[in-house]
Amino acid sequence: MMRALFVQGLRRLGSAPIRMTVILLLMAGPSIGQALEAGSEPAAGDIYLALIVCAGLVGSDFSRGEVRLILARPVSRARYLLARWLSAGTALGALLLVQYLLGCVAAAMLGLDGAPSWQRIMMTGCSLATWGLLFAAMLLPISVSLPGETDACLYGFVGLGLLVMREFVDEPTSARVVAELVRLLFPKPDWLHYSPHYAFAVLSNSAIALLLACVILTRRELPSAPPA
Amino acid sequence: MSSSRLVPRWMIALASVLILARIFAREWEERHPRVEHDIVPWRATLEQAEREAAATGKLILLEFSADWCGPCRVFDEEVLHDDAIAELISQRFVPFRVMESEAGAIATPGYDALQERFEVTGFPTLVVTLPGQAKPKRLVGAPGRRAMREFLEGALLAQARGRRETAPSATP
Repeated sequence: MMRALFVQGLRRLGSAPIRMTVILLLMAGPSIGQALEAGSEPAAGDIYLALIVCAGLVGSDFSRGEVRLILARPVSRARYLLARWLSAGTALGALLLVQYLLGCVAAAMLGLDGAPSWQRIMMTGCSLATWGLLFAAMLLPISVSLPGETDACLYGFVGLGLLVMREFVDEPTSARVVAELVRLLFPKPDWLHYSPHYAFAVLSNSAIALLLACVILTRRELPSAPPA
Repeated sequence: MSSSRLVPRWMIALASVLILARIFAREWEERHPRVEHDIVPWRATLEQAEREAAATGKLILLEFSADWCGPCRVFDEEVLHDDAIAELISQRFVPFRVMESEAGAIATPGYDALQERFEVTGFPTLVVTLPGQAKPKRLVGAPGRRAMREFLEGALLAQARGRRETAPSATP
């Protein structure tokens, strides 16, 4: 059952033409340029990509009334959440990986100076894939709480708020607190070496976010059945 | 039959175990930090580098870096740990690294003043001070091995050209 939900999640992502167009646009131009840079950290383009992929992950099921049909089958709410998380996280991880590998192939073909080594490609690839899973998990509690794709609007407002704060709040303590919070929620990967702390930080944050999403979902009432 | 609305116990147990593993992994990494040996013989202070440069006639190579900067780490690992580059730097330059750090422990004392003095706006930045020239030669961003070699050789060429211009001509 979980497998069917996982596949359905991937299909739903692929069958949304506007979303796919935005994803391809975000991947094609500036993101490949970023991938060619030596640091190869997920940059702003990748965050937009993640937000677009994960928007309305669970909320849209509630708004369309599909969640009632899904949960009528022999599947627990926790497993339904896990399947949704895995489908979005896998899709996001795969997109980031493809984008990065395209950048590496382009760098190798152009004979660019500073093309990444195999070790760096492997490490960055693994980090990007895990980053995708973490990001999808962190957005899940928000998607469970809000209807439809309104979570995307919320991310927009938060992003705008952070930009305004950066421009107008000239207080180092606040900036440091925000930076610490972001680092705690989204630990920075070591792009060159395997770090057990990073691996457990990603896993524990994902597990906490999934648990939180699960608690919220178990307390939510299902939408009433659409009129016949 | 269990309710579909229950939060599974295994999920709570897994989250708890992972949090504990995270704490232990952090402790372990703090007690066993990765030891990275530099091949480039960075001088301890800028004063030492300046004294040595004045005595030997070599150029001072400053690298402005930060411990939170990803490209700096890649540059350090893949370019500065390259044997040929490290040898070129060791033999022809007096290297000094200016490190900015969030932790504070490994930061170079007075790094902010040095960044201001050499007009550093991004990391990593490489600066070669050329004697007799007001503007130092600089390279912003993480170069690859080829670009790094070209930058260093360019600085040496500029030094040689400067020496030729200042030296009294031997022939009438």
